[in-house]
Amino acid sequence: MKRKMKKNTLPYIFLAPAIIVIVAIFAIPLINLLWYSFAKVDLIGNFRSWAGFSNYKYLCTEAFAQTMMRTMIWVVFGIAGIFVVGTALALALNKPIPGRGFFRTVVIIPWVIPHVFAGTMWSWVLNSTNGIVNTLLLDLGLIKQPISFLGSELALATVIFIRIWKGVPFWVMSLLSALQTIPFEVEEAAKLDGAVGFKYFWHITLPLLRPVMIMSGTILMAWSFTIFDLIYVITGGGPLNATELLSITIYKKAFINSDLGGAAALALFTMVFVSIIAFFLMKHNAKEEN
Amino acid sequence: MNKKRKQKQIRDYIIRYIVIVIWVIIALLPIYVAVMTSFTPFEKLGERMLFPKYFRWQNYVEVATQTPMWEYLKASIIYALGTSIFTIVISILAAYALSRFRFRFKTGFMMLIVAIQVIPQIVIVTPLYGISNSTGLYDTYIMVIFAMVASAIANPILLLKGFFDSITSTLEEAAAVDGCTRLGALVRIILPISMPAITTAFALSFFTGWDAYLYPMILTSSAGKVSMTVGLSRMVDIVTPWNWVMAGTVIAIIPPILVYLLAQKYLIGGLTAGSDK
Repeated sequence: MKRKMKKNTLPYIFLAPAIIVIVAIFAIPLINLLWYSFAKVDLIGNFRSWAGFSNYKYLCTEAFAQTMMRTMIWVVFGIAGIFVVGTALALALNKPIPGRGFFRTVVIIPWVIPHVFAGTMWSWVLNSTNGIVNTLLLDLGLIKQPISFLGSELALATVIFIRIWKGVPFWVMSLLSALQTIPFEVEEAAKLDGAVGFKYFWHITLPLLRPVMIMSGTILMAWSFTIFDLIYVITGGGPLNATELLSITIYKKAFINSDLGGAAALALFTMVFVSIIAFFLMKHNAKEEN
Repeated sequence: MNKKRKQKQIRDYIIRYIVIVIWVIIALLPIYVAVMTSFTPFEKLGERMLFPKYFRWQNYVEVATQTPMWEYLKASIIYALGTSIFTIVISILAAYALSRFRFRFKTGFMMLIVAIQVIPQIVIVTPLYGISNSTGLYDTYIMVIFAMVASAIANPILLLKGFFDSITSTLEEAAAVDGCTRLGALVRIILPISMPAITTAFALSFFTGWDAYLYPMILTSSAGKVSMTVGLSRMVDIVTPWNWVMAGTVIAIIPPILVYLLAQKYLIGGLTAGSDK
């Protein structure tokens, strides 16, 4: 009897530290976020008064629509870029090729560079006066004026490029480990049936990689929606709001305008929005596997 | 026939090499430029150069003596090691429970672990700031570490659970007969053969801890708790002596690259172990 008791509580004891962390850092803050969003609170989270839905008013403004649009562009183009470049790389690295071990190591490096330093390095590489890209292009006579990569016209495209640079290795790693699970016989059989090259990729590889792609794609999507440090370091959301995404707006509302309620409403909206997309992607995946 | 095949293989190689080499150049370009710039004198920064020309190592001395670089580095090491140590201990325990026991809410807990991966720091940092103030944990290392552990924990748990699943439980049963407790069996039998997975978990959580930016920025205020990420990004804000910023950046990216190179053997398979069952 005593032994049975012990057996039943043991897994919970092992899980307790993880549960404590999840409750303290995720559950309680999310609950607080919920009531913040309906209240007036001061900077350190003390309740002042209820505010009804007034904190959510921002969600009906033109400024929000624009931010949402920019965020969607950032997410869609970022993921599309990661998908194309990462898939090509994974396929190039999948089969034996001289130097593969070395290339595999190097290809992944952007992934281990923290976002902030990816930001400082690329800001300098693409600097409009002294950056190496501009000085080289000027030297080669390809451009007459230095390109203002972080000016209001190109800034969003530039940060998307840097996002792709940082995100590709994750995609490559996901696909490489999935590609290894494709049995050799599948390839042989497909080749006998005349499926080679792009045809082979489209009809054999892609369907087999789909579950992993959806899983990794969902995670990338969720991260992309809310990346803060990369953009904050490179542009701070500027110039002229050109790169102001949801995460930057949340930050500004909370820590610059001291509008905690407004920040909470927007954060909650973002969280729910991302969760809904993630849920549908994953659900689809689970259904297919069954 | 054979010749044709050989030709095809060469063409195949060439296409693949083009893809790989273009990416390698793009991947390494900012790092190469950062290293080169970190040795360039300030007044030569605008010079058009593709190959290293200067070797002004004093940039590093200056950045170390005239900015609080050592303080930043110390804080970053505390955050990164703290995050990885707590993450590893907590995820080993949780993964072992998920792998070896049957209990209620097991599936629910697994789903929870998958779900917390998508909770963004920017969403919870606002209430976390309030909580850290009301609990007196504002401006402490432990608050930042604790918060980072939550962000870091999901992948190691899934990864270690997958690894533990692949180990037969016969060894532990034998140990139990000899009077060994569950925890004893875990520590003495499972952990020694799980080093590849634990190494991966360490590397992953180290990267998360080293990447910390928003939490140290918001949840701390004293000078000693400014991490490399926060410190260097502030340096960009001011007048930007780019040779200093690049010297600092080079120092800051060495630890994660080193950890990566040491753990690399296990990483590629390990990262996604959780996601494809």
